[in-house]
Amino acid sequence: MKLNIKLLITTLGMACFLTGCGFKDIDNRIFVTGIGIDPSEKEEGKYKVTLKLAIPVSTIQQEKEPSYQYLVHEGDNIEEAVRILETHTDKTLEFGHTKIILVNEKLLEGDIKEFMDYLFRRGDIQTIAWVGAAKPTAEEILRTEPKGESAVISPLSKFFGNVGTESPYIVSTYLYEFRRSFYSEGIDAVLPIVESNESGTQLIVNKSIIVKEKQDSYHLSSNLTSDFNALANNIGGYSVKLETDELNLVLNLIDVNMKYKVVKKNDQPSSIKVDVKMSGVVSQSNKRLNVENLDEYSKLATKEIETRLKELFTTLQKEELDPFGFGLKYRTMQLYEKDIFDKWKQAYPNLPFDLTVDVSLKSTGTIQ
Amino acid sequence: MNRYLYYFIIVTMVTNIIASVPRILMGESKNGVILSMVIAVIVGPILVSVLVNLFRHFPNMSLPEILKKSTSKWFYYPVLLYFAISWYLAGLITLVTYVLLFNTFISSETSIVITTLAFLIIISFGMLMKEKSVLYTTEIVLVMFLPIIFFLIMKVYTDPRLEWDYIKVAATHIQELPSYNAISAAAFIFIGVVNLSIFNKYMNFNKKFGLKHMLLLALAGVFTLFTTYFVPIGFNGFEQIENFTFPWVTTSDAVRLKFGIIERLIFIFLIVFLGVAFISLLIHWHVSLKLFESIVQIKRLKWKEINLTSYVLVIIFGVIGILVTRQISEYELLKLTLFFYNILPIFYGILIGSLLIAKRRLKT
Repeated sequence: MKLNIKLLITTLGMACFLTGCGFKDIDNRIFVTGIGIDPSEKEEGKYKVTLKLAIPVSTIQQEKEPSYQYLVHEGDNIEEAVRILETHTDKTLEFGHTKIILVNEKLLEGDIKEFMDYLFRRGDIQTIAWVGAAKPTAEEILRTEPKGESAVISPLSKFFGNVGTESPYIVSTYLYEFRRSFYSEGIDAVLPIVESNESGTQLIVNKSIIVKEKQDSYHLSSNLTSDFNALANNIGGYSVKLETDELNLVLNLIDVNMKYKVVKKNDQPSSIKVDVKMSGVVSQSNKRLNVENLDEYSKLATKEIETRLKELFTTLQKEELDPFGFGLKYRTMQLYEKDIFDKWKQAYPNLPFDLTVDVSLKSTGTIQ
Repeated sequence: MNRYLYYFIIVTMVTNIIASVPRILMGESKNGVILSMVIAVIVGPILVSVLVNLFRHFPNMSLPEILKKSTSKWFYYPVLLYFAISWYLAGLITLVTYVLLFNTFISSETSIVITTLAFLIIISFGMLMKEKSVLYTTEIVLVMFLPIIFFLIMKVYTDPRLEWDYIKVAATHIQELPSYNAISAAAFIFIGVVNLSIFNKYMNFNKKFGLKHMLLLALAGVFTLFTTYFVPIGFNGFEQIENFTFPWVTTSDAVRLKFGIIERLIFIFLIVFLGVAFISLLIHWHVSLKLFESIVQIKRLKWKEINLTSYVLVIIFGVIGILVTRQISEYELLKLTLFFYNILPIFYGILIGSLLIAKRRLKT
């Protein structure tokens, strides 16, 4: 009998937990794959929130077309809009699989702290969600469904992080990276701009935007984006056009490596030293190329890239933008003082760049 | 059996990587935290060696036995009660922290009571185990989880998006004067050694705890504190770091396992650390229970020859645990944790003092 009583107590104790756990079952949840934030079009609210929901399908193979549901609502803040959107569907909105957060580029001009706070404060949104600036509106971009997209997948996510396509034109920024660069002194956050083509069947990502607090955001053109991205994130596939009187070359630089430091003189920043090393191949030419002359072509390329990069650095400097984090580097160079960053801020617009580029071409491709 | 001493210390170190210690350290990030950590890494191993060398004089005896043998009732009753309550509080802080963490990151819909109950039921079994079984459980869990923890932490260190410039910026604050809060929080990671009070019974220290061991401990401490404090800064920047509730959990969410079964590191991370936190909680409350048992034994509470005192104590432990987790807010938890860490010198003082007294009395 003694054993039975023990058994009884154990069974009863366990039975208490059989009422179902606090977790909601998967069929009571619907997965939000993308969040879009736009300025409100009506007068009352401030934001318009678009949620892209993945509709569950029985098997992915059977489903030819991706099927999504969109929820749109306007509100004074994001929390409010999301709360209302919860009443637009009969299931719990599950944010744990959100991979894409799109923000209308117009919103990046103003106070972005408010919605960033919401996205970060919610524990269930991944901080490794990709953030992008949407043009013209986040809703439109989210609603774009490119032909090649498979069912039930987070839209756009293959653009970023070198998962699918890999290109120096595409800047990839995680939510936490965006937040850290935005709040840190001495570095500015860069976001990719996501556009769609006119007919709304394709997504295009090849520009970027620099976001800085209390300052208008600055658009980088496609070329500047690839210059910046290749250097800052060491992404290969950087292509350069070379034009001289006789030669017309296009180079593909596979390895890109940049090192930089701030040179100090008399306790003041005096110049920024940037070393860039690149190596690659010739991918197009208008003439027969001699392998013996590779060094010569390299020299030409060096000159060309030097002017190109100088332009990038000086443009950024003129706008007082610092996406590379030169200021951050400067802050690491000495013990903390209160005015160290003010010193940098004053000096940065007039600092000379000491740029050395070293390009080495390895091959002319399959033909000479 | 001496390896268990290291297990105790490792368990507290690992538990505190993601619990309250980083938060307190981050809070003092512009207030001399680096020097504080340096001091803690020096003071911690010294305290450990002092305690181990004192316990060495009482082979195969637990603290209650030592005190009962050498001192009188009016002395050992309050001392043991104080220790029992302290250990209970240490466990309680771990429990509340991890329940709050679980509710924020894994399951926000589950009610706090259910989560706490799930913790408590498993812990209760553990608390009622024999001392030796507790030691073995500790070993098994550590052997299972330490490699995974090591892998995860390496994964975090090798992430290409970990920006060392932020860490360097944090390091430029080295010249600031240390703060007491930061010292006590950083020194807390060495607290595992005090579990010897009960488990000394099963230890056998033949050799002196010398410089070599202290150096080893200090190295482990440096690695733990560096990971605890600097890595979250590398991922989240220096400016806003004091605003995070659980800096390390947020940090673990920043790492992506590109080719893993689960893309988000955070879930594996939390579950593995939860496993070690269970052990930490189990050890603390087991010690607390044994200390309470050594001073409270209700003779009339008997049922079929079994004394039910420990069962009653376990139930009281659990009920207080549930009540506190339900009531406490994050701010109160932080205050309680800070208070607990800050009175640690008193704790060490009383422990070392009473051991010294016992040592002198036993000699004469």
